[in-house]
Amino acid sequence: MGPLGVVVWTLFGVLVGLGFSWMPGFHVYNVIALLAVTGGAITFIPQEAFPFFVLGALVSFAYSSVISTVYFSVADDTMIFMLFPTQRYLVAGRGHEAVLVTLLGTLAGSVILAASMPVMPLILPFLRDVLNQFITVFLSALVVFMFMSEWLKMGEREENRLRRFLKAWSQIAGGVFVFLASGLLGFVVLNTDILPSSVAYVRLTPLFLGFFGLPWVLVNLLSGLPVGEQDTRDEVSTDWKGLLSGVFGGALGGYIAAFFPLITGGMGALVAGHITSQRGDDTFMASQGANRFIYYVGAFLFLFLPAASLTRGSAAWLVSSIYQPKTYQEYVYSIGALLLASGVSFIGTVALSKLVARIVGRWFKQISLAVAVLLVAIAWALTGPMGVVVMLIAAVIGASSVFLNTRRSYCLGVLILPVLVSMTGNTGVVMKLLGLGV
Amino acid sequence: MRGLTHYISGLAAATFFKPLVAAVAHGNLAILIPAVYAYLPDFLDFKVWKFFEKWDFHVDPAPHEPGLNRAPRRVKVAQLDGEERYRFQRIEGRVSQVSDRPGRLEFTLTDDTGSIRVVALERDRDDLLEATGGVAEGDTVGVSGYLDYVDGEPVFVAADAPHPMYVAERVAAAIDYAYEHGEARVKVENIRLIGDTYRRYLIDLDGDSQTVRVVMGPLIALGGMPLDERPAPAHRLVAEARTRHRFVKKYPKPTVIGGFSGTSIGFRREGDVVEEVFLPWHREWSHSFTMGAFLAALLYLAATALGSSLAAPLALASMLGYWAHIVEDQLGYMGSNLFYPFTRKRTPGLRLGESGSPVLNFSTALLMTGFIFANLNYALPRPPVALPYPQLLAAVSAPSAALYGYVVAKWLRERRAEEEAMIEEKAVEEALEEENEEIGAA
Repeated sequence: MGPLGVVVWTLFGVLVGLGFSWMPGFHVYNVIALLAVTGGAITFIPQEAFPFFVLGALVSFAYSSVISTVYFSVADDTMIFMLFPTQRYLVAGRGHEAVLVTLLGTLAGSVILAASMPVMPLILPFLRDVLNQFITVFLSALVVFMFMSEWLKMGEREENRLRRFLKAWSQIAGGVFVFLASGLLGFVVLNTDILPSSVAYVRLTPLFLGFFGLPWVLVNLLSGLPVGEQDTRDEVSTDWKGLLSGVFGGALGGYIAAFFPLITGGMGALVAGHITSQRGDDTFMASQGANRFIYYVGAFLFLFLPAASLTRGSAAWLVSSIYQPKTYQEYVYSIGALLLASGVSFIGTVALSKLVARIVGRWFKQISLAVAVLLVAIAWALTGPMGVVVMLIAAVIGASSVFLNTRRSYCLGVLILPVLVSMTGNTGVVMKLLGLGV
Repeated sequence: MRGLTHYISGLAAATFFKPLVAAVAHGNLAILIPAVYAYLPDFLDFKVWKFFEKWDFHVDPAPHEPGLNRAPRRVKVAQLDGEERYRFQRIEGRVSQVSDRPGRLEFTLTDDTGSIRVVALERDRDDLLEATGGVAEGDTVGVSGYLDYVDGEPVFVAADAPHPMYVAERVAAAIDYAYEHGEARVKVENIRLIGDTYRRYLIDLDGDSQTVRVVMGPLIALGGMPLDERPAPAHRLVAEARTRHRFVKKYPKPTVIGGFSGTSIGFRREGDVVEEVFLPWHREWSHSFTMGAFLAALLYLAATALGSSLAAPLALASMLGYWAHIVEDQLGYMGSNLFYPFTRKRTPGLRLGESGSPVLNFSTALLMTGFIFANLNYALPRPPVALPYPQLLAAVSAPSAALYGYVVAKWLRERRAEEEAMIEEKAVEEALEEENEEIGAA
């Protein structure tokens, strides 16, 4: 395939990504799965163009998904819970500014990723050969650290010392509950035929929609919070030092998440945030932008490395089953495609943000309702009625993390727990314990 | 340093013990225990000990509304007594006897328990009028502010924060209490408002003038971003309270109460002066080499009792992880009580950087990650990186060494600047002394 084909299919991917990714809970993996598996996209997209199409979609997702994060993740009306920095900006009428700060981080992440690609073939094989042998250690270490490092927000004002302690620790208990409940659900879904094997490719979709999409949409619907008028000027109030610090930490977290299987962007950000000791809302948002980009796109780009190909992330697995890039030419094209898609996605996302900022105040509930219906429809279309049931159970667990004031990332127990059980050879034991095994 | 830096250091310590690394191949994750131990000093302090601290003074300038986890608390007029003076509260009631002139709005507010005169000054007047849409006879309004007294009469002053005197008076009282009773602990709460926003304030202990100074700061987001940078009106911006007894401030910066939580300040009498002990529950017994050795010994006994063949390396690695934490913290300002119970006080740190310093944290984490990589590489039957072990260690340490070099150079520069400032100060003192002598002679 020539450079023109690369440009065309990359831009097509960008368009698809921009079209869907701004909707809350709408993950680009679902779109790719829909197009590739059920939509028959592989019949009209040439096989060797498919990686570039997916690359374009992933890049635009990494950019435009910030819109749903900023505009549609609003806390409840009493706001007794902690707000994310983006939510604070939205409440203050500065949603578009939050988008811009995050996008600056994303843009920097794009440049860093593109610049680092030439040295990746030199480093990655060694890292892979050494560290892959000890994945269980790193994964377990991260889970233990997540629990140990939970910042105890509650209890400080209780009357006596024991009550202070118990109230504070109820938060950790809540985290353990969310982790175990989501892990158990993941274990059952991944190890039984509760969802038919014909939908094995998208088995995780209802889980993720339930854990990370639906709870926020429901909270939006239930909340009485009016999202005020938004300032749509292209201005940001930040400083370069904070931005650079955020980008550095975010990029580091992104690489960690991209390299290690099962470690997501959020977990990578947790690690990098601690290591680089980040503070401040704008730093956090820039960090998130860089982090998400390198996590999603970096993981996928490893697929293009000619001598050290790594298959990381759902998109890479899906693409590698259709076409595996092999040549240095494709590798060079991928870097160019990455930069092209980044530029277009940046401009497109800024425009989309302005549009959404203008309508979000007026149509907030209606949009949320439409999205809720859409999420159920996706789950139904991909996995049938049982998928919807699974999604609703996941949504209850996901919402409980909000109400228990604990980290939402504990819902990742859905993947981590079954994998840890499997890696330590205990799947049979757990199946038996649950009365599911032979 | 940050928790994860310590945690990685513990994991790095574990990888130096081959039996622990080899056990991973058999599904044994004991290698994680030294990492847990390395984080344990902070875990014990922040997740356990902190909640069992006993306070002599609990200073909460803005009590929370029950069930809402934020200030101001709604109270009845009758509840506003002298103890509540300066605290941020909210009252609601019917308006009468309104008097409004530029810069000063006054009215009487009556609820089912009594009446009080409400005064709103300067921008607080404008804010109140904007929030209520105007105040007229017969209206029912809610007003946030604090109780004060004018000519002995109670007045409710409309404001968006407590008066800083509430904190200043109580911290000053705590210092005097410590002088008289030997020790005092003060818990100062933060000010959390609607929408997960916070009112920042600063407590400055000025030992030279025996003054506790409290400055009310801007409205901020949780992470510290200012949301409203208008300074508080002059009548409630700064408050000073003098102590009867002398005190010295040990921690070199004012205490800033921001978003995440309040803080705890200890005062301890040493001779004829009261010394400040910043965060008295932190870096005491938990951050001592002795505690590290004790907990490692417990681990050894437990592992041996369970029949583990890894008891010795596990305990040793865990002790090293624990100690690594203490050594890393010693690079900062605060220091630790290194040999508790044999030592009573914290040994001040080297002051290479604050515990949250990005460069120090990153360089340490990078160094430890390098150690982990090198050790795991050599634990494999055919090491993927074929460099000899010392060379690989040197290679993975080089970037951190460069960063440490930068930190040390910066530290030396700051030291030199401090010395120069001190010389200058001495020169001024000498000149003043000579001038005084001359005046005296004249």
